Amino acid sequence: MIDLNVRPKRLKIALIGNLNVGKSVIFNFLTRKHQKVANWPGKTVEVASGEFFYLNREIEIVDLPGIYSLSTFSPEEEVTRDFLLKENPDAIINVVDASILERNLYLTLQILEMGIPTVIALNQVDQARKKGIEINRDILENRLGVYVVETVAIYGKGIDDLIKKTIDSAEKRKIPNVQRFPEEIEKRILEIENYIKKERYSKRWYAIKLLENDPIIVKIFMDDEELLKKVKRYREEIERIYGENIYHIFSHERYKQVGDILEGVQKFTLPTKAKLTEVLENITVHRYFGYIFLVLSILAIYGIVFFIGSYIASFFDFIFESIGNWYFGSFGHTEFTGLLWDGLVEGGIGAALQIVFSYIFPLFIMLTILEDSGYLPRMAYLMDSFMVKMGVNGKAFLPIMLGFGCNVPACISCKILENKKERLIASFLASLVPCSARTVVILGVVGYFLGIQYALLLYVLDFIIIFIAGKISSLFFKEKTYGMILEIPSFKRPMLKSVIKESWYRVKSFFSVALPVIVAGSFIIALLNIYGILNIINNALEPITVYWLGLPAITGFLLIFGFLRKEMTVIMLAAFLGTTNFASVLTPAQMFVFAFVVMIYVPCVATVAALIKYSGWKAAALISLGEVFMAILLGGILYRIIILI
Amino acid sequence: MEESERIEEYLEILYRMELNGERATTVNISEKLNVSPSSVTEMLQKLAERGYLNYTSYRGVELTEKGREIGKKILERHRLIEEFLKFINVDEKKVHDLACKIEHVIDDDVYRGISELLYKYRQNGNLILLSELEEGESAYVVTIHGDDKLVKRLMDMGFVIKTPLIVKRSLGKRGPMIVSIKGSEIAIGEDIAKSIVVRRG
Repeated sequence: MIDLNVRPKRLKIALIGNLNVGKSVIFNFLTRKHQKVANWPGKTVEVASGEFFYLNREIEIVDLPGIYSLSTFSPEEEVTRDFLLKENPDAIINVVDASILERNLYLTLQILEMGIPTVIALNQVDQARKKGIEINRDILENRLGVYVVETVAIYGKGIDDLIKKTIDSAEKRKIPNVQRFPEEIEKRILEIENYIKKERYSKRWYAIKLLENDPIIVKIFMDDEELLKKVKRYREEIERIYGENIYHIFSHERYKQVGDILEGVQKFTLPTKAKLTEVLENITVHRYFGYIFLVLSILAIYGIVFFIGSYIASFFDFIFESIGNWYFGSFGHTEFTGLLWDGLVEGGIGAALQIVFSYIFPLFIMLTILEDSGYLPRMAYLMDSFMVKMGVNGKAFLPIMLGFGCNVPACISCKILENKKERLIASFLASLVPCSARTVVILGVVGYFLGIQYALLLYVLDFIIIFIAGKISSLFFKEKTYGMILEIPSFKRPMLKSVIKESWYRVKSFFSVALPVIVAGSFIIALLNIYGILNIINNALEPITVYWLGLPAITGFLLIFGFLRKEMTVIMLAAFLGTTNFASVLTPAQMFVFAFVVMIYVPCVATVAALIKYSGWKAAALISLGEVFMAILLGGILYRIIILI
Repeated sequence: MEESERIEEYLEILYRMELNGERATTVNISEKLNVSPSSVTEMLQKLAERGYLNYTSYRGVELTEKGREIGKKILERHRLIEEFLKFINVDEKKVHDLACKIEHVIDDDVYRGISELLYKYRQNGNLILLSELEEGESAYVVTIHGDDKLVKRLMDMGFVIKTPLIVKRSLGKRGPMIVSIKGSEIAIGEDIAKSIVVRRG
């Protein structure tokens, strides 16, 4: 059906669908290389695009964010709409979850209204069959007037056919069937159509959107006052006939259209769910067992991450030590070679690589497994009531949980939250969670010398602080907390290949935020060290460190250094004190207070960079300074309490 | 219209715009209230003098704590009265305009009285809030209260009038629940569940 003798041609294809339907899996399958992930201009929503060649065609494919509707009530919807309006794709691949066809087709119908050539990927047909749903593809194709291709994206099944049919639709400009509304609405749509001059998409679509009072489309026709007046009159007439708001009417009617289309399309039989899936689905959202399972999962995740991490980290230590020996052996120890090594190679790039490959990459793999398996939304559900008390909804549990690994991805992940207030609170709380680097300090100083119970006490203190901080910061905002509305997908087995791929993209975005600041920061500190500015800093900070917090003066520099890499403060402390047996030089109170201050005093430089990028300068400054103040204040009080005891 | 009523009307519309995330500029407000921009400017100045709002150069006007409180109260009254008027079968077309007038004259006692009456009616008519359903119970969607954004979002996810749903999971009386609707399972927070009115059955 496809013309094989075409001259090389460019086609632009958009992937659209609900959340969790496997859009990204199809995208990753098609574009092995040349992927670009970028924020849509002015939005925190990410859009991935990639290219591939197929039958002499150069195809650009864009993975748009998961949405439930083509209106403009969420940033994701706005970005998708913006893309369709401005980028003018040759065809759309609408990915639908075959096991939730009714809800998915609601979006499909809105896409088809635009009159762009579209192909439907009926994804996860294997899952649907397991749920006892058999779909008659032929009837569906006939009624919609577009190709419907059965796919199982995670195994790459049906993707070849999908692309062929998409190219065919795009090149033959195969326009979908029109789905009609009831007479009272249809009549008015036609009237408005007659008034619309030539537009890029179907006039019908513009007419419908105008009737729906879609702000962006209304804006396009801003100059045509007469048209808008007419639209307003028709809209009011329709609202009067139905006695409902226009949104209600269109939602209702579209779902009715879906119902008509699905008449006789689906056959239901008894589900043949795997036993394990069923047990998991019951346990993970259970009132009591759900929480036990949650805690065990988190412990297991971090257990695995730290276990693997420590091996990889020691491997990096070995490598850099060997290179270092060779380097200083060949070039000698001078100020310059030292600066180059400590500031750039080992302290900057080496440290960043070590952190990423030892802890961040394994952590991202675990996170992606949680996401792909469908467990993450269940965690949000369990934690919702608790999170609401802190002015955020259950979804904010994700950043908090990620925070235990690393605050940078935690702050980045705050963009899943609905409004600015919640994103800000969640970033603040996430940056207070003791990350892997702070865990090193807590365990290395307090846990090792004072006993694990004191380390646990620090964690408990931190959780109390997080809770109170959440409560207090939620008071500062007028906006209501946006309640949780979150789809719970069925459990799926994560596929290794796509897990690694997804994690790798996350690592790349981590690098772009964290690497420059870590390298620049360690270079500056190495410089300060050489020129003896260390003592000046220590002296300047003495009123805080020595008199208020009761710590030795050298901690002044350590705390500044900790801004770069908190885990290094332990090693540096050992270097300055000339011993790793901290108990011989520090009192128990000093160790406890030191670990406490390191735990909450300021997010590290990479986290601050992430905060700036995703929440803005003001929020980043407010959070960082607030935490410094809080750490000093509470640290001093803690010191005095401990002395009293 | 008396001045106090006009003040309340303005504060209500400003609060509504704030909820919807719209910019409150003179032009936007004048369109919403169907009055001339110049009289809007005059009124806004008056409101600013009385400490109900602040002018910000780039974002239009912004309510103060005091202004927001009144705006919120009036909007709540407006919604309740609309519901009440629909309940006593007043012509749909008149409901909004009537509510706009009545909202300014009732006091807290009347508000409480009407809301208790509606609550009792809901219970007798088998109408209850989704949040009151127990695990395993099924019901039909009757209506959704809340701002446009919330209503639209819930409808997009399948919470359309007359749609059957089942509460698959719940974390107790005060907590989120997982609802099965239109073939998918959706977790909703307690507040959201409270804004959805359903009929048992």
